Amino acid sequence: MMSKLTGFERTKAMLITGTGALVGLVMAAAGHDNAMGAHGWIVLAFCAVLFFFVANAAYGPEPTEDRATSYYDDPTKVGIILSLFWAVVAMGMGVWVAAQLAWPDFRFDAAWSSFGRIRPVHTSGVIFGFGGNALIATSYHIMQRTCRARMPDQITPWFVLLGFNLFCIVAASGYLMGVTQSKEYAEPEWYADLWLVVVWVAYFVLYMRTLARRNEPHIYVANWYYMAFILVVAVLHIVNNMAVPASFTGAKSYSAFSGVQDAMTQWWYGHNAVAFFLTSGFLGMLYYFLPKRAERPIYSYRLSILSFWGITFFYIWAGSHHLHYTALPHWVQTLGMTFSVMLLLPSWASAGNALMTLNGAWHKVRDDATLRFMMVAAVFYGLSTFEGSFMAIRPVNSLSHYTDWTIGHVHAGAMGWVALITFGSIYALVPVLWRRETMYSWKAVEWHFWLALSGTVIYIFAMWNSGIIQGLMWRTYTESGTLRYSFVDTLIEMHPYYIARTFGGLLFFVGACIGFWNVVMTIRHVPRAVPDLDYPTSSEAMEPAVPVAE
Amino acid sequence: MMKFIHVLLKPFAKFFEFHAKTHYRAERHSMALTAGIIVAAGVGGFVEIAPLFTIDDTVETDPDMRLYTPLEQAGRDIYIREGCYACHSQMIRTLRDEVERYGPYSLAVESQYDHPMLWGSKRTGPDLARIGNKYSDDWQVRHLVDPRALVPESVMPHYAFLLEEELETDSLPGRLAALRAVGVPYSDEMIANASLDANGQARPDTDRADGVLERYGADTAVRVFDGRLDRVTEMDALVAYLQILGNLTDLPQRLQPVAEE
Amino acid sequence: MTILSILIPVTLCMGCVGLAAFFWSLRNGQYEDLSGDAERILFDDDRPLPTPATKETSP
Repeated sequence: MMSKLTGFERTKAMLITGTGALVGLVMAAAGHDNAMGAHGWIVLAFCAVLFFFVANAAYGPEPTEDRATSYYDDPTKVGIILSLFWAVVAMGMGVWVAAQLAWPDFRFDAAWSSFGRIRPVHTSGVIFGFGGNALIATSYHIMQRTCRARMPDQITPWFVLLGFNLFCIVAASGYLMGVTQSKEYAEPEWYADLWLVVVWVAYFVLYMRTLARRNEPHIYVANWYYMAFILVVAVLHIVNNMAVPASFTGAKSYSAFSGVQDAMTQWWYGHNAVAFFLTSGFLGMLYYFLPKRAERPIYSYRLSILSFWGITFFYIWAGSHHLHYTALPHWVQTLGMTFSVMLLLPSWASAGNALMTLNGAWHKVRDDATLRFMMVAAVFYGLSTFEGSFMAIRPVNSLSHYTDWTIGHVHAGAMGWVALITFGSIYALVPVLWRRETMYSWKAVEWHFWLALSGTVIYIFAMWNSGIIQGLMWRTYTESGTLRYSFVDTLIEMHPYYIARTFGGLLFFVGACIGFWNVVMTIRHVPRAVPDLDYPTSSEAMEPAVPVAE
Repeated sequence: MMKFIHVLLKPFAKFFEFHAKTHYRAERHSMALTAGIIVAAGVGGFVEIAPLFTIDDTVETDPDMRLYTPLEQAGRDIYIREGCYACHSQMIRTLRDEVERYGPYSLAVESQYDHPMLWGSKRTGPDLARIGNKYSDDWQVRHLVDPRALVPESVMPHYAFLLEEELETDSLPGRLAALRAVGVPYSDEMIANASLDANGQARPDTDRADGVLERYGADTAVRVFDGRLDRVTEMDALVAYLQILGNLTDLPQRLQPVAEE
Repeated sequence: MTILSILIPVTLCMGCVGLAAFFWSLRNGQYEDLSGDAERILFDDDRPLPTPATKETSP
């Protein structure tokens, strides 16, 4: 890996990591009596390790490859591994956190292991660690190949990937120490947020520069989705995290917004984080890997464009559906609800497009678990977008808000759509990237698929039940017109469902572990193949279904 | 049936013709189509945005709205640190069963000094918007130390360590200053005396308590919140915070608003 | 609610950027060959295309 960097690039890398280590040292000194100090040590360690990694190879020979004739795939490969690593860690945390709701003493007698502190480790870990790395890695792969051009330089992709992971590490370690803003999916504190802005701007510039040097004039639709993801997430992040630190030598800060204003800003961010981080980006994945794996073009390219502009336009408005019946002005709630319902159309355009693409390839769905991952992901995408639009309707929301139904909805999307399309894309990408004929074990892929599917279904059904039961119990009256159930009564009813959902999550987690193992075994043990074409096949056979381009 | 519809629509035939022709032309010229879409969408947008400028009427103001005292703010910061918002909401909705269960529905003004807001998005445990003074300090402490001692079916984690942690107050002036920077009207005096006031509010036996009453009002609760006289702990802060929830202003009780449904 | 005086201009800005991007894509001919675009990703030989002499190459 280091051998592909020129001497100048290695110097640049050492400068960057060296500066980072110094910043860590400053943080450690300035925040010596609080959590920021601990973070300083983490930053220092992270940068120091990277520095030595580069320094060791600093005087190696210059690379000889002709950069005009190949793509730069090293960051993509590392990104995939990191994504799977975070999946195992963060989903494991998810199982633990879920178990605590069923068995509250399933923890250590220490402050860091309470539900409130470890929950965000799970949420940030899966969204940013698992999802974020997958998005970065696949975007690197897709943008290069659809542009038919190599990335403009070799340092920026590493800076983005590794800088982003540093953000994830600071976030997760922070939560355990109690460093949190409490804003959902925006919990990291001010210095982590500032760092992410730097990383993200670099990501955006890298993307634009690659597009600018494209040799294929047409920009494939997947790139549009990724671009929307990168751009909108940047704006959301910057606006929602505006805060004043209590001191520059500590982690604590106070949001620039308060009360109603903050509620609105937070859920404008929160919902669009789902829209552009967890939907737009992964639709980019879907639009590339599903047709490639099925060896069929997208059913309707027109529809994919419509879906893109529809999603990008409508989603922004939907945030206030998180605030029905609260102190937010009524008209804003209605506006959000209206756009949420309209959103169903462009969402189903993509889901439908994906499924119609498989027409003529359903036998491949039957035989190829990787493709099946993607197909089921599209189905769950359709399901969760319908559920979301439905739950955004005010009277429905009056029942669902604050209950497990919201959690069920989140996980239908996160497990059923996001995770499944990511695993499918990874299984499609790994053999291509590492030049292996197949995955190490196709049986393991099958096992993963069925564990993931059953885990998701069990989880969702548990939460649908618990959510609706609790919502109904809260509003049940006796004949004499008084509330029938105390809050604790409803909590008692939840217990079996908390157990069921822990089990569902456990199955999902085991599947992810199998996936990680399978990918590692593929890299280490499957013999290298050099196919004539970069042509991922959906079955054991090497025969492409579509004629070769000359 | 079709004949009947034909007859009914015949007078409008000319209009439909014109409409179809124009739309056909517009579809070929994307600018015109776009302009049409913008006008169509713009009307709705304008109708909904114009009232924005009278928005001050929608969010109530209350000049008697209390600030968080330094001790209560410290408690709030502990609430955030421990992730209590993940299981407890602080927003009573405008629904009949909620108003009956928790009290008058939450008004916008009540969280106007909440940087950030803690409205919450999940009730694994009950809503806390009006938990203030619903239970005694002693109950709150016992419950935080071991929830299942008081509520056997509870799944809440225990926070006994809060009783052992002395409250860190040196950073409080800086925190109040930062809050002022984002719009909470703390005075210079309040900021300067933040650490003193935090300690004073939990030690009614000392003269530091007087400063608290002076600066934050005679109604301010000055009590030994955690039940232990020897020092001011994080438990003091958290309980002080919990006991003020819903009591920052009596506007909800004065207004007696009627729930929507 | 004064936050809306920031949020609405920001959203309108973003909307305008989106609109500008759409018009650029239209003018640039991104929608000229939709079936070709769909098929093209299925064939590649995992090598970048040669860059025309006029364009800059990587440093």
